Amino acid sequence: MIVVPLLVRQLIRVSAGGGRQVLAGPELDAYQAGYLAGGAKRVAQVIVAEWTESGALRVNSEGRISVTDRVLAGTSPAVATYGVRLDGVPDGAQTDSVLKAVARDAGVASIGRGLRETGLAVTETRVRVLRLVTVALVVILLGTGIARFIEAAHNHRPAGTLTGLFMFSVVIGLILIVSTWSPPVTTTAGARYLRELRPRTAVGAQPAFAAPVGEAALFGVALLGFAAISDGDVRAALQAGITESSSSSGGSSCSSGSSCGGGCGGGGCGG
Amino acid sequence: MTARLGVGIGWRAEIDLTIARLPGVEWVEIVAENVAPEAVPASLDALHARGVPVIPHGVSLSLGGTDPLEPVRLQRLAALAERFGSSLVTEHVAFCRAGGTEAGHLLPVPRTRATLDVLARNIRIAQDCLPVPLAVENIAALVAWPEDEYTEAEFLTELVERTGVLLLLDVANLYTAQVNFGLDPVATIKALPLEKTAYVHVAGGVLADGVWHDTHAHPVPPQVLDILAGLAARTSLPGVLLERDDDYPGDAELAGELTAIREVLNGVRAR
Repeated sequence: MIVVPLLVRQLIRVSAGGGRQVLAGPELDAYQAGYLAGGAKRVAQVIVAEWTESGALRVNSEGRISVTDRVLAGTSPAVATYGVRLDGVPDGAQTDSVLKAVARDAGVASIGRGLRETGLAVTETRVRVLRLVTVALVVILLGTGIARFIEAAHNHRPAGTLTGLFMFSVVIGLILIVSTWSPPVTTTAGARYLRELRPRTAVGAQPAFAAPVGEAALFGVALLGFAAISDGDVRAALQAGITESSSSSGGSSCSSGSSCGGGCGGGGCGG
Repeated sequence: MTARLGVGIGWRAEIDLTIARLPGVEWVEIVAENVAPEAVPASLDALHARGVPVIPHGVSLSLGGTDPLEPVRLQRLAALAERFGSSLVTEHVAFCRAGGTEAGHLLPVPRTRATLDVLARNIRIAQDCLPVPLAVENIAALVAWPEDEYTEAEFLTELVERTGVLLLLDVANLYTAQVNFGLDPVATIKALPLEKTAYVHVAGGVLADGVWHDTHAHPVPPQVLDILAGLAARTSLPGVLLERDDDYPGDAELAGELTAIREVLNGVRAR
């Protein structure tokens, strides 16, 4: 019963039609590759890296991101092709908050939808099947254990070993159920695409990301996240915004480093 | 006259990576209230380690107030000056608290003999506490006191004569006075003891309902650069600093504003 959910987890990745038509067709872009490699949040990393590199966003050394040029951001394929909206980006927030906001964007969701339709990403239906099967089997497993406890008590038989097995089953069952909350993103075809992409983009070793800008660099981010950004200062800054607390959304000019001395009563700075 | 600083920019945490990469930034000014001497941001420390001079700029000393100067604020300015080996520290000819109430803004003082007495006393106290010379800045005001007895130039000149304090001339604030009160910046510059100029502030603002707001969040207008040119034509300026506190533009625009300042200074020198 423990093995079955793991098998189902693999089975739902088997593509109907193998996604062959997609692999034989046009190349995926960096956003799509990012989705396959790390879901919506990885797409968000690709978009934030692109906007930061273009100057549409600015990140400071503490990982706080501000919007500098909305027009420039609008020229990104993320906006032009998928309709990702910069308006949803919280100005002055930590990288983590910005990533969450971008990942929730309808445009990013449409990227995932397109990949599911072409058989490269696992569909929601299959994920639901995985959850249902997993929960059902865990419930049956634990139910059987409880029944055996009752039977042992009724017949005055020792239950020491049974208790140990039951506790083990509870732990494993919880792990299996929790694991369904991070289901596999790619189908086998999607995984195959990523495997083929790595050597094609020379990804696999850090120096391969020496290209600081452009599509190749974005594919690096798609596969490895911000770790693939070749600009060390920008990479460290973006990563700092992920590791630090992202509870503050920031954005208020009143709390910024103004020489106005906190002069937010209106009427300008004075200093 | 103080040591030559060159062209600099106000260091703000939001744009710390940008400042570190902007070409030709010869020095930076920090808002003393936003940088703790014992917890200097790493990016600022790195900039200083590169040999970029750092000048602390206070915004809350309230030199024009009748309340006693708060020792902790003076100590912070002194500590920052020592931390960065600064050649001077700067503050404002203004008050920002009275009777224990914080205005949250730099307020203009009445230009009267009584106020001069207060300012001169406070400036001497500050000078005694600080390890480096003090310079004071003319502020941008939205209102003027009806009992003003001096012009701004006369007032600052007498302050300099009484205390030996240096001047931080804000040409954007001279432009503010021109728009809001009809004061001729050329006449003010002519009447000032320019040999006591420590450095100059340049900033942008916006006209709203006929009132100029010194926001530090808008581009520097050509009129402010014209005043800078007029000032530079009369005296050799030790330093000029671009202030930007909010709504930060892209790197290219910031670099462009610094270039515009350099071109004004070079143009004056070439004459």
